[in-house]
Amino acid sequence: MVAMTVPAGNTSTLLSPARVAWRGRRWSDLALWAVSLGFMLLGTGALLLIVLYVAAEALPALKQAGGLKGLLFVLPWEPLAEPPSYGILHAWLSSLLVTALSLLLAVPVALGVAIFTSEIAPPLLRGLLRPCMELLAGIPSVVYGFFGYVTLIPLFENSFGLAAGECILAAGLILSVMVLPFVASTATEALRGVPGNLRESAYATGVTRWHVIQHVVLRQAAPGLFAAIVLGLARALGEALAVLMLAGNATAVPHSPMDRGQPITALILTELGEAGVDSDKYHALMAAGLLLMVITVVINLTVLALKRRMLSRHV
Amino acid sequence: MSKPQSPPSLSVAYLGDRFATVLVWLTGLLALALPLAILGFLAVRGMHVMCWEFLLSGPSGVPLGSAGGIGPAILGTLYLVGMGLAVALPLGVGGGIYLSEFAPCAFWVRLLEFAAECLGAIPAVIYGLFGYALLVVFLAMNISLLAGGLTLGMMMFPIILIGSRAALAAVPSLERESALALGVSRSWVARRILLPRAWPGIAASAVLAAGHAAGSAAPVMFTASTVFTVTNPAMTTPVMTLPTHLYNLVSEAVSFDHAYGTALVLVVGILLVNALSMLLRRRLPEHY
Amino acid sequence: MINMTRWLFIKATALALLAITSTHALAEDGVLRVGGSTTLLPAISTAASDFMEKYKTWNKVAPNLPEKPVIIFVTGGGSSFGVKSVLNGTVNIGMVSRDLKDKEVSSLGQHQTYLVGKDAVAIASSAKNPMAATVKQLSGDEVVRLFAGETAYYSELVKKLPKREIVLLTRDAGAGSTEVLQEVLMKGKQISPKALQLPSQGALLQKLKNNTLAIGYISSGLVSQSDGALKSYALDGVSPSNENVLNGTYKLARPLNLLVKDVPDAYAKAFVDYVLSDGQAVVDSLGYVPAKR
Repeated sequence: MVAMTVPAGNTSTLLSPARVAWRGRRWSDLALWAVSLGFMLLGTGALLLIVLYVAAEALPALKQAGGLKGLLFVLPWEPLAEPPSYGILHAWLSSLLVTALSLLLAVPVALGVAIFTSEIAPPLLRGLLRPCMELLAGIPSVVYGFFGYVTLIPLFENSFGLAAGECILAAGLILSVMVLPFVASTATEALRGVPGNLRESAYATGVTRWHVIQHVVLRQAAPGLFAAIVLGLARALGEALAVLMLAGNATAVPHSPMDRGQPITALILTELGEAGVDSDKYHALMAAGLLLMVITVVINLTVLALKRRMLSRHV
Repeated sequence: MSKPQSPPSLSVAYLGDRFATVLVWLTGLLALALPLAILGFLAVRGMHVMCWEFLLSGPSGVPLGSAGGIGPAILGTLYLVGMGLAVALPLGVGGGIYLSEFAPCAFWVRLLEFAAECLGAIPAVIYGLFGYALLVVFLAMNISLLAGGLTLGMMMFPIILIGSRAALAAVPSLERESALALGVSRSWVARRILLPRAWPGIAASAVLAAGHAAGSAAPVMFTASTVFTVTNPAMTTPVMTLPTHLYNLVSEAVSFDHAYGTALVLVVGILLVNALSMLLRRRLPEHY
Repeated sequence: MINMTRWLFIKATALALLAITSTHALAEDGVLRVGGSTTLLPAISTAASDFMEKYKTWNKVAPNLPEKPVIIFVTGGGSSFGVKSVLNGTVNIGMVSRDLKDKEVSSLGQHQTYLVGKDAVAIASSAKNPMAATVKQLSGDEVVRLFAGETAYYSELVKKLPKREIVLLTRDAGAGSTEVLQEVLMKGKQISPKALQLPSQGALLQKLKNNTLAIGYISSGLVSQSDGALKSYALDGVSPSNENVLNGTYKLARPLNLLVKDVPDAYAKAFVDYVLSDGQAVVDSLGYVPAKR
């Protein structure tokens, strides 16, 4: 709610606080204004610099790959070939597969958890679930990767007879656990936002609880739920260490969840060390990073827009 | 909300309701069990390596890391996060003060906040990519605490900015306006009224950002970390960090026992930090 | 007043943060950074650790050096990373487990390479691999087809073996061993993109030990140190032993070099001299061919 209102400190609509300070010769105020503005610009400027720098360094990759189509769809990743080629098809396809798989697994469970928390759970369990979700969200990526490495990989190799346990499925499974708390908490927020009177009037007609949930609550909360899914997508795309350790790190284009893949984040971590700055490989890696960044930022923008719509519905 | 009465007959709707409720209960219990299972697994496998020697001394043995401890890694992580906070806190709090006190109109505030949230969505590996290219190579900082700390600081900045902005804006305008009406300057208001009221929220977001940064390996892998060090961290030297040390132990198969121990230390550390953040947030309502 | 204590707390925290991040009086002088090949990593880290133990300060190494503590940072990253880092100036000494390419020689300009040992890139698998019992050697062609991904199952390699999938393990593109395999054997053919890329020799060792269906190319020193857990295969009848590396009959032999740009400074020279003298025992103990022999 706070984000929607005029900032609390701005009481003057005619003159900005900085102008007032200048007029009144309030030097301490001016100093604070200058310092805070400076810091604001420094911080935001640094972040903007990151975006621009990566974009600038990514451009040569387009030229050397012969256009966007070549970079994204045609060229294979063969740094040792003569001449070397740096196409990132396998990378973004792997990212897509891993992310899709993780969402496929995480979203139903997260939805269930959200419904559980907001509609069905007794207060004791409700109070326990929140810290549990925060716990899950707090475990770092490298620990998840380690956990998957010692549990899933041997499981796949021994019990399922896979030749090598590392595959997109393994990465997707662990990623779904990583993404679960974020999707669940946003979905819970969305469900909680449904006004009580809507629920009560639905119950008053005599239908079952699940009927109310299905036809009234979920329908009302739909934009927020969509935002939750999209948020999960953004988080899954950005994960680096866990997929590096679990997806197999192979440069072939994956065709199924049982194949090995190399998502964009894993590609960057693997190849950055030996990519000399300003080499062709470096530009290709920057291009992959730019792709990732653009997709992630666009997704987050969508989430923000959806969240605002979610809030505005109930204000 | 009153508990709804279920219909008496064995209708389809009744069965459907029961079935769905069971499913939802299962997911809820799964959600409760997952973190405990993961944590328990790590604890059971890693507990036996825990001792003061493990936490304080450096890696030893052949291959390096199979004996000894992870002391330098803990220290390195603390230094890196400290440095990152030293960069991100002033920038974030300053920005928050600007957004809540001095921004000329709502449009600017929304735009800048929007920009911050978008930029805050950048994945951690991109910060590592940028840090390596610009800080380590181009600015010749080399792989060092300085480069890694700056990278982490940039990563923490959006979280702290948004958190402090929210905390400052949550202070009721009544207090601001009555002070201003009495004729004090805005800097006095900021110093004596806003910051004391908002500091739990600011600290909570700072602590959250610190926990997130402490566990990230991707930004520091190419900007600050080294496999082995014996010295105390300094600005120009690389440091061992907990997440990269864990990654090295696992990928080089040096010692899985120590890997469990490192993972346990990392997770418990971050959990404590998050718990601190939650405690701080709970202190907010006191002041109203 | 409550506000004053809170303000004091903030000031104290800020001071503490600043104290933590203050620069110690440690200059770059006396700090050596070494990085590159993961084959050389265990040997050089142990040598560095021994060197730091033996001489605590630089003036004990050579009397004309200042009394600064000996600090050496060793990191992996692959041979190409080592060369690039020497070029960039991010390391003082690069570890390179292959010959330098012409392009690298021209970018480096003046440089020095010091041979610290020799190593064979062995085709290896777990001792429990389906072909470990019966197959003793592989021909060059078979190896090329294997790593190009054309041989998918063990039964295609040797008729009597079960139809199990062959899991290929490789190092990533920047590794010295990969370059050697590519240059000497594969020539124009690309290594199968389906192969699992591992980040270091240590990871490769671990995976080969654990996965009985895996075949990879790994430093022969690691095979001989594995206490029988791994088995290596003779290439065209020549086994990857140290003797065959020395007399030049094993095709996939490679030098283990330390690379320095321009002329090494006194600190780098001192450490390199140590590796070439006392450090050779470490090289030998890890299964490589010491340089002097």
